[in-house]
Amino acid sequence: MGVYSREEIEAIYRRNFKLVYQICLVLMKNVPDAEDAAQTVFGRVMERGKPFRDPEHEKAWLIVTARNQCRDQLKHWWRRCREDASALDALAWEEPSDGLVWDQVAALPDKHRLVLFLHYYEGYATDEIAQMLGDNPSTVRSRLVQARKKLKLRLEAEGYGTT
Amino acid sequence: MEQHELNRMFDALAPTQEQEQAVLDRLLRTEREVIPMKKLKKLTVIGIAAALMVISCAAAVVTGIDQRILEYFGSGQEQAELLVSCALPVDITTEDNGAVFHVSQVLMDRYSLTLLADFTAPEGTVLDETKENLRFDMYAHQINQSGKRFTPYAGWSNLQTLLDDGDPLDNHLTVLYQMLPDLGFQPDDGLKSIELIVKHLALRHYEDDGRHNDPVFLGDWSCQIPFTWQDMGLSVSPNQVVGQLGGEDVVLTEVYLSPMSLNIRLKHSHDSDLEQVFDCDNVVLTSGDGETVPITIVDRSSWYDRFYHLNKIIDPSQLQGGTLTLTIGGEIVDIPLDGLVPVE
Repeated sequence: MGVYSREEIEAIYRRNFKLVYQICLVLMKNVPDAEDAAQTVFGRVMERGKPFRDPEHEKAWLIVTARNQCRDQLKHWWRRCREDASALDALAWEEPSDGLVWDQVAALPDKHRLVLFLHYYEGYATDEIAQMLGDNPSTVRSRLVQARKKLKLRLEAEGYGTT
Repeated sequence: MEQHELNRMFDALAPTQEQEQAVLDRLLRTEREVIPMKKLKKLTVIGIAAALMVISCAAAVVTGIDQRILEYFGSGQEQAELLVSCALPVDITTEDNGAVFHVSQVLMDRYSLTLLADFTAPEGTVLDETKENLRFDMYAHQINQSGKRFTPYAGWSNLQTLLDDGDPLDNHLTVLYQMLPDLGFQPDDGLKSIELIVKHLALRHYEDDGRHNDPVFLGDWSCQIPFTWQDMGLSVSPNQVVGQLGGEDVVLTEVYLSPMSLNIRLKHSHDSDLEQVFDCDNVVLTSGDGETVPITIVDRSSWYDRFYHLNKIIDPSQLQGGTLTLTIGGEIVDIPLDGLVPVE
């Protein structure tokens, strides 16, 4: 049993579920698996033997745990069943072109998708991402460059922004 | 594309309030209640408590390859002989809850196990194989000489496909199952058998509150498949520098070929970054007489290996003198397949 009460768990969950779920969805690329992964991440919070130092520590721990959980799930047997390839069709895109952007982001390697999300959407600097994920800062910068380049090429190939 | 367009797309990935609440509710329930498969197991206990399970296994001699497997691999009888060397002699029948599960064929190479089985429920049962996501709870374990489950360092994948048997609404299903260990079956692992777990035919579907498995037919048709296989594949270890990543060499360490499969192993100090430079969709396999052998990538999860199905059965010795063409960092690299040798 962990150090947090049920109320504290719920508070941590409310503060961070959106972030954790989005990371899981970016990595797992389908809604049911993202929900499973996010649930497992907060299950780990329930098992924690010591409290987080501060909100930043809490957030960083959740990001890394979400990444690790998705990595584990992606190695499991049912990952290749792949029946969820179109599971995001049900999402309500604000603009129809957002679906096209997602398709091209989803086609990138998972490490590229994660740094795109953390850098552009969550606003983390590459050095911060590197520290958090235990990677070399130059590796993270390189992934970001590669991700941008690949995304640009893929979107151009799809005719994005040409009309 | 502008950053705000990217972020608008990420915005759309945010969970709904209903999703957030549903996951929290599941989280705060007891673990027994939250895992969908547990619900299924509970039903199973009720449903098959009095069921009789009979397992009978008999050794068999491999005399031919099932037409259905040949069709799956896009080949005809003329290629069947090539697959005989990959076949394990199996004829295993398990029975539970009035239904029979019969494993009639198993093919193996170093990187894949392919199994064909027929499932027959009691007369009058309708198993609608046209339903998407109709699947058995089915997976496999490697068993070592001590009879214990062996967990390799790397992961593995399972694929399950229901084959069209001509009558989609009868009491019969044909299932093709594949186990794909990321680093392959290793001779040094001392494997004794494959434990095939087969439980419950269920319809998997997704609702707002998560994934569900609705039981269609309950039972346990698990069985053991003796591991009597010899690797008949060919391999070559070029140890050739094929590109650069982060200032370091990317080295092609092994090419493995069987009548069914191609596996490529690359090495770099940061294996997980290889995907940055290796275009795994642009791999071309050419036989010794210049014919292109069509391939389909199967498994991208391994950091070390890239695994492909050959889209037609071929004698791997025909690839002697052929070429493997890779695209690394945008550069095309031809690897001569001159030194293919039997792996064992």
